Amino acid sequence: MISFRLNGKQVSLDVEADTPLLWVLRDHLEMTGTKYGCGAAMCGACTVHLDGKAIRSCVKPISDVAGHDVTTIEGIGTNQMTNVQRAWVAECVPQCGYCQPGQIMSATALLKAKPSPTDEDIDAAMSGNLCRCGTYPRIRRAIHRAAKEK
Amino acid sequence: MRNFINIFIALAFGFFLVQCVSSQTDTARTPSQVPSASVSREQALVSFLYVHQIAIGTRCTNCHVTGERPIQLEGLSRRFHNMNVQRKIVDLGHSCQTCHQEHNLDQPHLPPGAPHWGLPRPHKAVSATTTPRQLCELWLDPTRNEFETGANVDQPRTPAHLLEHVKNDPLVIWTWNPGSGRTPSAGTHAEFVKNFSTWVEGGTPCPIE
Repeated sequence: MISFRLNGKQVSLDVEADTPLLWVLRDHLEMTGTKYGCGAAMCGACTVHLDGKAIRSCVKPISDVAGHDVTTIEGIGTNQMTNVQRAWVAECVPQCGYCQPGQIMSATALLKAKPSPTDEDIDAAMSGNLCRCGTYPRIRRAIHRAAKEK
Repeated sequence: MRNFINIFIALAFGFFLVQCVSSQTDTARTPSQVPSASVSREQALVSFLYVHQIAIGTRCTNCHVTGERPIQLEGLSRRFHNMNVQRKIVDLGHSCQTCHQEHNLDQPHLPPGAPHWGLPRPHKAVSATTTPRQLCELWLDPTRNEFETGANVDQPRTPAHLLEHVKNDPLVIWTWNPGSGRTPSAGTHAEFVKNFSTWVEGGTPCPIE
């Protein structure tokens, strides 16, 4: 039995220790907001927060999560949209939208650590989140907008 | 005729001995048995040269970088780490643990992993062109050899601390077990530790060059 806090609530599951966190989220807990992209930590679609830091859930064994705090896209802006989400809407960031949960989780972690990031900071923090629609300019604008609206 | 044969045998034996000595000189970079109580300066230096060869290898130099970006892959494919990974991501809500776990994963082409995966501070940089002298001075310089984690963080390391580092740090040990598709450090960890220990016991002498 493995226990951890998910979006502020305690959860316990009986799963194999090497099951990736992403599988647990989507298949066991039916929280499908976090997306499967590459399964190899190379695209960022599966990004969630572990103790406030961005991680790729597709390569994170659930055993490493035990006792920690996990936040998914469902766990931010539950009562009202965050400044990041509002900026995403204002800048019309998504195109197909598949990568956007991961993009928003990475951007949220970035802004929490550095409330007013430079373009270089954004590039460094967000380069691991790929977008095949090429929405990168809008993502950058949205992060700057969110930084101003905080 | 018999004399000729005896001389030939004597010459051949002599040649064999010379070859053995030469060979020992070459392989003396990996001395196997050094009495810990009586390590000479020469023995310590030879052991250091062995240690140096490992330390300037790919497994160490990929992350012991001066710049902002770690190196990835090996040989002709050696290049900066994918994804624009930079030293400063740790201040931007991310870290090396965003992708790297505390252990290697079973499937191929997944990020390698070991505890406290990360970039050492830039003044600890080592490259393939770092000379034995430069490496020795780096390791013994209290302004450059400090602990980066733990209770002694920022405190300088003694030679005994350095030995402890190469002996027990899981990230050092990982370099001999880097996972599928990656070249491990040369030799064995035990051999590396033995030579490092010999260098320490011999008074940590530095080579001239």
